[in-house]
Amino acid sequence: MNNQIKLSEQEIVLLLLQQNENGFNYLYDNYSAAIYGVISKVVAEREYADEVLQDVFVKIWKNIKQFDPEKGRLYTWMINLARNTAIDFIRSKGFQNEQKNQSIPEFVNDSEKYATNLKVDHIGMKEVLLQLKQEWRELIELAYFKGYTQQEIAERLDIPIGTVKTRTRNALIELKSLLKDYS
Amino acid sequence: MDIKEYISSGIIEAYVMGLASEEEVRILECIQTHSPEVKQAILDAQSILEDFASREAIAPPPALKSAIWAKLQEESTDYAANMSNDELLSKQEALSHVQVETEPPTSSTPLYPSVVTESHQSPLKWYAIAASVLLIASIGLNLYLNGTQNNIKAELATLSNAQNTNEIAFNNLQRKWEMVNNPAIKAIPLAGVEKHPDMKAMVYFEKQSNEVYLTLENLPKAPQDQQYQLWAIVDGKPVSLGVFDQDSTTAVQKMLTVNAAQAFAITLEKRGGSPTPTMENMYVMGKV
Repeated sequence: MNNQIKLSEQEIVLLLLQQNENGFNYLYDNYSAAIYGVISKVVAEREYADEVLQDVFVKIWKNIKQFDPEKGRLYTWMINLARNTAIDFIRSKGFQNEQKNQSIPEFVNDSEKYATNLKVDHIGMKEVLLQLKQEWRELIELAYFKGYTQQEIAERLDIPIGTVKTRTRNALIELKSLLKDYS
Repeated sequence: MDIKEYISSGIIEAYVMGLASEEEVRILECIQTHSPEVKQAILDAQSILEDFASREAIAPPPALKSAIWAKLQEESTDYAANMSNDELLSKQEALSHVQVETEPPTSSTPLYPSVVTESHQSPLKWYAIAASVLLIASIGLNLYLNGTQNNIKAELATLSNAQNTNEIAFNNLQRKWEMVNNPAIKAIPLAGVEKHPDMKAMVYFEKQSNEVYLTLENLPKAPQDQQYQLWAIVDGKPVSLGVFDQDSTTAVQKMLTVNAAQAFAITLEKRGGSPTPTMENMYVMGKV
């Protein structure tokens, strides 16, 4: 497929509904890297990330009928699908057992571990998250990539629930200004 | 709380990050359908996360693409196995009308299942498999029958075309045959003139009614803008008996009637005919 062709999200959805092979090619060529990036943040191991990517595309393929443009863009829908599939994966029994068998501790205490994880830089650019202040970085990590609830985050970080929301807002505002510097 | 306070409360960020509780999500989704401001704030927050994903994109291993496509093909065929019998029947019915269609969601599969359940032991699975085999067989049969039917239709069209042509030819032949065998009709061959020795036409002249019939036996097809015109020579002067305007050169055409013609001749004239013959375009001629 010609990479120069630019399809609207509506056109992509239409092609996917028809299970069109060019629709898949376009989707994959234009979105797989972003989706794989999101998955890799949740599932660090390459082989598992590959598996999850496959699951995500199967879900997009099968569930495209449930995509409701009234509720937001296709890109956001796919990112969330990828995020949730990846989070479900690391929470699944099979994966947890495997981790235990390899006697890797489930969670060491926190921020240091994130920092080490995040140092792995796949494309040679500096991780955006690493440039965020720690309180914002760990919030995005826990909420967005680990799927923790407000309650869980409040307990873990030992802050009031109300603070979780305001901190989330500030984290996102900060992320926005960081990303602006790149583009 | 007014809308601005609501927007800046952090609820929107919590929502787009997947942090909002079910109740908060319900409320927010309700509000956003009524408030363009809230809706826009959600879209803006989501676009930050979209930019973030684009910025942190990692190209997956190249081999994955074809593997995933193969998997999707597999899923598409497995899809039928998840349908109930009723759905299958209606699907079959729909398929007999439409060959290509996208399938409606058949069950409310949760978008984000947290536990993957597989019913290996379920006897339903075997019904589903049997049903899907039937469906595939039925689709195959449909396609086959449809294909055969199309072939037959095409053949029929060709045959009926051929038959039409044959029928016209046969009718022409029969009319000629009748005329030749009718003692009241005189067949007058018009032979090619010096310039066109091979050409030939036939005039059939009914002596009692003075009716004239013309067939072009061996004249080239007239150009688009021209027609053959039949002339009777009466007392040395040409009288037009009309132009030959049949599509088929084998057709028999009834021309104008004429008394006491001594000869007939055909010239090629402009479409519609000329008042006097163009002598240098005379092709055939015959004496009575």
